[in-house]
Amino acid sequence: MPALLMEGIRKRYLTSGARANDGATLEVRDREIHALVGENGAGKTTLMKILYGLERPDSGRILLDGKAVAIPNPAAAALCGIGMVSQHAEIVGEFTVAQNVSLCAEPRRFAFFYDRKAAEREVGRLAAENGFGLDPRVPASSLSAAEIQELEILKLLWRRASLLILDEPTSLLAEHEVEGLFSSLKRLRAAGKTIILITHKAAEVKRIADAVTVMRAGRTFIRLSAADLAEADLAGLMMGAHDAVGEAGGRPATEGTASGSPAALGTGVRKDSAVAGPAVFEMRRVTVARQRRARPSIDDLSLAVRSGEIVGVCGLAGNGLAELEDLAAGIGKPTRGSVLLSGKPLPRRREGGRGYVPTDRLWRGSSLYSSVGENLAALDRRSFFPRGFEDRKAVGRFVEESIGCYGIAGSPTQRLGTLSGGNIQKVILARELAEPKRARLSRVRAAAGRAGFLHASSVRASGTRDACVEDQGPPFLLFCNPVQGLDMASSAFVHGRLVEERDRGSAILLLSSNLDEVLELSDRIIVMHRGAAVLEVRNGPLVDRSAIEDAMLGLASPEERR
Amino acid sequence: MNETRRTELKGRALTLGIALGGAFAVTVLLLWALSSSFGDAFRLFFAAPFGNTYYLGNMLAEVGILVLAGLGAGVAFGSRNFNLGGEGQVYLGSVVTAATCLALPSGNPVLVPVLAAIAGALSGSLLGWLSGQLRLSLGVDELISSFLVSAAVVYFCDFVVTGPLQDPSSNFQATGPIPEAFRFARIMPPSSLSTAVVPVLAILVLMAVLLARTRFGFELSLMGKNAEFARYVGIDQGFYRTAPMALSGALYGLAGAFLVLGSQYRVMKGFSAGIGWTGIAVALVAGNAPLAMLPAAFLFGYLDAGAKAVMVGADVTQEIVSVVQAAVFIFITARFADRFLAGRKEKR
Repeated sequence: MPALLMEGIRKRYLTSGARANDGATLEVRDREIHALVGENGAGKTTLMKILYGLERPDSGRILLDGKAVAIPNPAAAALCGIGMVSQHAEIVGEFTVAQNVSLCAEPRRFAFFYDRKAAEREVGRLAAENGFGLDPRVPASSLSAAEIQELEILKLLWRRASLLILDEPTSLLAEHEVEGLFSSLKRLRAAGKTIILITHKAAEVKRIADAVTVMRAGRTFIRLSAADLAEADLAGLMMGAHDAVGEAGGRPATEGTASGSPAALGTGVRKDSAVAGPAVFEMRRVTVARQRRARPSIDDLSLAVRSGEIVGVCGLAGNGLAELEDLAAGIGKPTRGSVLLSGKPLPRRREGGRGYVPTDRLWRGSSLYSSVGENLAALDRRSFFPRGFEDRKAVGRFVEESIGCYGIAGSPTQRLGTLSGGNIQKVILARELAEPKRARLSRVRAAAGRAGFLHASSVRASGTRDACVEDQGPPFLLFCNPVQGLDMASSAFVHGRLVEERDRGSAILLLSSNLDEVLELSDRIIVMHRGAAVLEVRNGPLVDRSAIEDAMLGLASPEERR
Repeated sequence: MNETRRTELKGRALTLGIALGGAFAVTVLLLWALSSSFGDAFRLFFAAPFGNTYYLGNMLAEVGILVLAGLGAGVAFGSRNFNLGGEGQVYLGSVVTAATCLALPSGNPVLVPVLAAIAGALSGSLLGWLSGQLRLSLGVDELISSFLVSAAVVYFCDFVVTGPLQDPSSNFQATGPIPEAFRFARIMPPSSLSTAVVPVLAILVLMAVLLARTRFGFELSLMGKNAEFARYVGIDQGFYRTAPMALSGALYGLAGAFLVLGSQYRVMKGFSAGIGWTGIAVALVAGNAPLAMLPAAFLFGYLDAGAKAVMVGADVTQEIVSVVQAAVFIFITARFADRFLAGRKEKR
């Protein structure tokens, strides 16, 4: 008998009208690690929110150990022994680990006072029992992404949850941290817990899961034991490469849809080697100091990005990548040293000439309460507001073009916040990679003039129709974790555009905490550790991955290690 | 039109409907509780504002002033700057306007009022700008500073009105009347409605165009919706901390200027009290949309006129209008509509 059975779950979101779940079924056995996989928007998270009481289904039923239960809210879920770690950490940074874990279920003294000593002792014991190296007394804000993940799991164990739901737990983790997380999960399974793992990384499923449920378009597509499934098939099933639902029971063997080596992102983007030109973006001996005694967040960093090359910077969270992003964006100021764009100090405010796809794409990169059209027009305001007044035709044309070229699933007047993550990223790309309209017009005119046929109509026509191909992106592009949290189709699209821009001659700085991404796309790789560039290598088939990983961890350089 | 927008509009209309219904209920309840003859009071409150030209004209004159005050509050709120200094800015605007007119009694009858209105607007604008600049350079919360500065300015204006500008021939604490040549002509005597409504409507249209069609308006709304995003796309943060505050102060100052040039023709001590706060209520009801300021201002002008009529004609005090205004405030801000719509969805 399955420990959990969800049957015929339907859920329609009224604001967007989207059917998030359309008759989904999930069967999870006792003491198994069950992977719930599917593309963005397949309905995985919604199904789990229903199980955790965050959403109510329109129809369908939930059986726990064979008994039908109603789960109207997370408190009821907790009573049923269900706990969930959501995709984004829910911790109080100022509180210690013990306080975070015991929050709302604190040990009390005289039934009233918070018993700090007991909390720290008990939390410490629970952590040790489960093989977590967390110190209950440190503030949560000082934890790494992996430790936060441990803290979140500890919170569930503290509440005696027996069914744990983890939503994309590995999206922020480095390779070795994923390993650690997976061994903890296996330990928990041995201790009698049942675990549901939401993911869209096919590779991880094979490594950890006892069974897999694939979701597509709100439905349960297929349930399989992981051992049955070759990895390429899984990716294909998720992507919907085989559209005949009936044959899903078999194992259609399509190669190369979106597979890759097990460890790689598998977006399958290929590129020729770079032909690097002059340096476009430069940082010279830049230091960003913090409070007096703390080590600087950026420590004497120099780097240059030439036109036509991708420089990938990777590092673990907390090693200066975030500060580097602000510096390269012109938002942060260096304490010492200089940041140059085309030989001149980088202006703090952007006025064309550089595109920037930020890590924080929901808050920094988009205005969720503005329309899709307003988001697209927000950057190139000089062209769209000639003499201060809106050129509605130009804006309308650009917005239509962007939606068409980038395949954005949304209308110009729709509020951006109602779009999916992948589509929001496409809106950002369309805005950031666009050539300022004025520049494009004069370039097209000049080209037409040289060719000897200068007609206003032909200029306008070539300005719109072939815009997808004709646009010349900005000379410098800053990409920060551009595919974090995106599904494979969207990731492949983003990476494809990135390489295209390089081939057109843009200088691209790619900051990523995902080593696979950096290895796949970069021409040169710089590894950051504690704010300093500890390793710089030219990328190629022979690059030493383990040396890079060691550098990210701050282990001694390869020579010293031997 | 897509579904999202439609839902939003429906929500806003419903919010407004609930607020109006709630205000109506509160008014009826108060009249019933407070007056000795409910029928008379009810009729006076709701019908009197349209009953004769005096009440109607006075109401429309006040609506004009409230439109300006609402625009002033709205332009600041729309950019996430909070100008709570409307009270002082309106008052100072009126004092500066009157002082300018009184100082040049024999000046050009077109030039002097224009100059006086501009001076009034500038004085209000200066107060608004000051709070924006304090926020920018010292990190002082503009919400607090604008309120405090305004509170001090009110006393300063009281001093000017009852001191240097006091009309010695009057028993009121008021300045002397401005020369007749500078006044906007009455349209509906004996009410205080004058041709000043023409420039007020022109300013309303100008503001609507400015906010909806220009780069300034676009950047301002981006600042209001997400300042981090605005910085990211290269919008000048400093400018949009100070300019909307200055513009807001200028509109408040203009409200004071037209109060002098169009309605009262003089400044009386404390005669503008409440306009700054009601302006905020207007902006709130209008959701900061310029063209919606007109019906919103009409709502509050109507409530005020009804209360005045009741005060004169029946035994109910004018404070009733403050209570009704407070009720509208609460109903508008409580967003009952959102919850109501959400609840209905659950059931479906």
